[in-house]
Amino acid sequence: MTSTLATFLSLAVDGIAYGMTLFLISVGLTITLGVMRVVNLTHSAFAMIGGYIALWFIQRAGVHFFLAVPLAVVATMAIGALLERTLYRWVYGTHGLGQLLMTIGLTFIITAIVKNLAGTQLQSLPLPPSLQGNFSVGPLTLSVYRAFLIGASAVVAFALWLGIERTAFGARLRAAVDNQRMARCVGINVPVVFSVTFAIGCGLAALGGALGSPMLPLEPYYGLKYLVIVLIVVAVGGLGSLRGSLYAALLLGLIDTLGRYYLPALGAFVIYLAVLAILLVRPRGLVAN
Amino acid sequence: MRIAKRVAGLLCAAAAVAAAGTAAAAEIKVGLLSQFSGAYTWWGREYQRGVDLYLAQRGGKFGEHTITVLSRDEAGSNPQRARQLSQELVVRDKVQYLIGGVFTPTVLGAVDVINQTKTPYVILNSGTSSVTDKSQYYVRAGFTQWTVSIPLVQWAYDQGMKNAVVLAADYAPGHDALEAFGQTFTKLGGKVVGEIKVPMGTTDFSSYLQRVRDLKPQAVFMFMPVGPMSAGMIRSFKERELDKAGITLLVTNEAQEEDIAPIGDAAIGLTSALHYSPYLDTPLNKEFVTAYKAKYGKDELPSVASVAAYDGMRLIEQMVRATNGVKDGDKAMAAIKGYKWDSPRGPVSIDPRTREIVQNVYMRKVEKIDGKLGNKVFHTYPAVKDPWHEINK
Repeated sequence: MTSTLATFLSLAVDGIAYGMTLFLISVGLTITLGVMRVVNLTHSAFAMIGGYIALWFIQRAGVHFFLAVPLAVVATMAIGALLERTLYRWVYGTHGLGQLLMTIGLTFIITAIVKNLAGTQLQSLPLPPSLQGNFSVGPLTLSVYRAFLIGASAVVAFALWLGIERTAFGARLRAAVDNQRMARCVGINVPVVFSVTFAIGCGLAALGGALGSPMLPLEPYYGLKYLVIVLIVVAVGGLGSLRGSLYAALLLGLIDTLGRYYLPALGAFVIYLAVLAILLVRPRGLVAN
Repeated sequence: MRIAKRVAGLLCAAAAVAAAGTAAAAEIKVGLLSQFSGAYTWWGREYQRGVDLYLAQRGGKFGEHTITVLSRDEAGSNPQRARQLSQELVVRDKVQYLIGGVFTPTVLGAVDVINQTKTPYVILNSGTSSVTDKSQYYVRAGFTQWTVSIPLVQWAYDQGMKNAVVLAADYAPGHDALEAFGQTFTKLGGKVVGEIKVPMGTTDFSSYLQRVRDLKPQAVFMFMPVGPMSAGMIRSFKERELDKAGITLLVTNEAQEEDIAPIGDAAIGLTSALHYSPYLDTPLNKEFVTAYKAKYGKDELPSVASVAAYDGMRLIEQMVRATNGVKDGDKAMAAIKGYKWDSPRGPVSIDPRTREIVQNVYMRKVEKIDGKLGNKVFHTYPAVKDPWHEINK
């Protein structure tokens, strides 16, 4: 009995760690898609860019893991901001289908560039010794890395919540989301608010891409491969809802991990059944605006 | 003056004879089918390298016949495209031989074309044993999954491992591997305590490894498409310290140098069975590795794919010489049945009955060799015939 419980609990921890990674990668898209109404299919490619930059820092520049990851986040934010100020101007100006085509095209371009720079082989960040190995809590054996991942993403999620609910910038963003025209009228520079938000979203994706690389390994096709799961998280969570995407990511991470263990015959299909069921009951997502 | 004329006459005659000689020498075209775009370009590169290296060593000629290789991109596991490409190559470009194929479906895509045109096809990679039964013009220069799986299971059993979990990716070759591992292990007297199928595209292996931990086997036989899945699985296995729980992970072609490099030191100690290792300690292999490095860079290493292509060209040379450059599929195939030669991978031959390659299978362990992760051979199963064909006679 205890061993069945231990199995369940260690699976739950794995599921939460996976869910938290999904949350980091997809939360930016919730904002761009739900709030700014931009179909940004390039989003998961930013996670890949972040992962590769962190990898470059560690392998080529010899920077320590704990410094390389924040550097990669900052670099990805800069790239995101640059693209937002240039290419995305056109994306904003076009209709839904146009946005979809432009951003998926951009994903193809990024894929090709990464393929030429980094090669097609699969890579992941080498973890520092402090994050390797396991530790035991009673009958449970937990991986240090996964515990760290859960802790780090929980901190980020909390900081995000604070930033949106408790700061002036958060207030401006909420105002811009709720009513753009009114926000402009009271003197909020809406395009700048959106640019900054876009860059932060890219940075979060980069963090997820870098920290999650042992689970979602880096490869040039990353941007396309994990796009579906990222879109699922956004859709299930409810467009534009940060809380929703946290719940959705955790729920899907858990369902996927537990489903693969307890229902091996259905395998990877469990998650799609779950998505179907959730969206049938709540078509606008878990936390609908 | 008169002497000068006679000399000139002789020279003319000599030139005429020489010209007659070259007239018999033909330009022979070979169609190379591989992956030159997309996620599997590694195969394209390795095939091309093996083929080019062999040709370069022969000065681009087999006997007096000049060899031209036409490379075509299979572009994924697409049998229709493979069929179309092989048809174009044979009918329009008049290739006499086809070589390559990365996936079983792409190899089989060419089956009607080669049967109808009697074109020999040298298979470089397809793990499925039954493929060579589909046409008498197929000959295998790579390996079958059974060939490497059976020695692996045998070795584990001989080490005293009596219960095992078989774990494979959930697709046709994975199912074959489950069958090969499971049947053989049971027949030897071992017990399969669990069969785990991992869906394609899985990146988080925690649930599957938890199952392994709960089943407490002595060995795990694993088969996965080489790449994201295999690397992720091996790394997670180590991270979860299943090895410290007394479970041995055993693989076949998932431990190649190219693929274990990204796994890092977690791969050290990984045991595998395969028909080649670039660190194989034979003079012929050392020569081959040196030639490969000289041509492609000092950090590059040949692989099962480049060795298969290299040996595949040797088979084509044998066929070209036997037919003297004139297209005759039946005569060409007859020439390689029972053909024996020394390959960088060891002594090999073509089984005349099945057209399968008979080769050594090596037990290898990942070690740090000259600062790099490489597979060191510690045991040899000599002259292994494709076991599937032996069982299903």
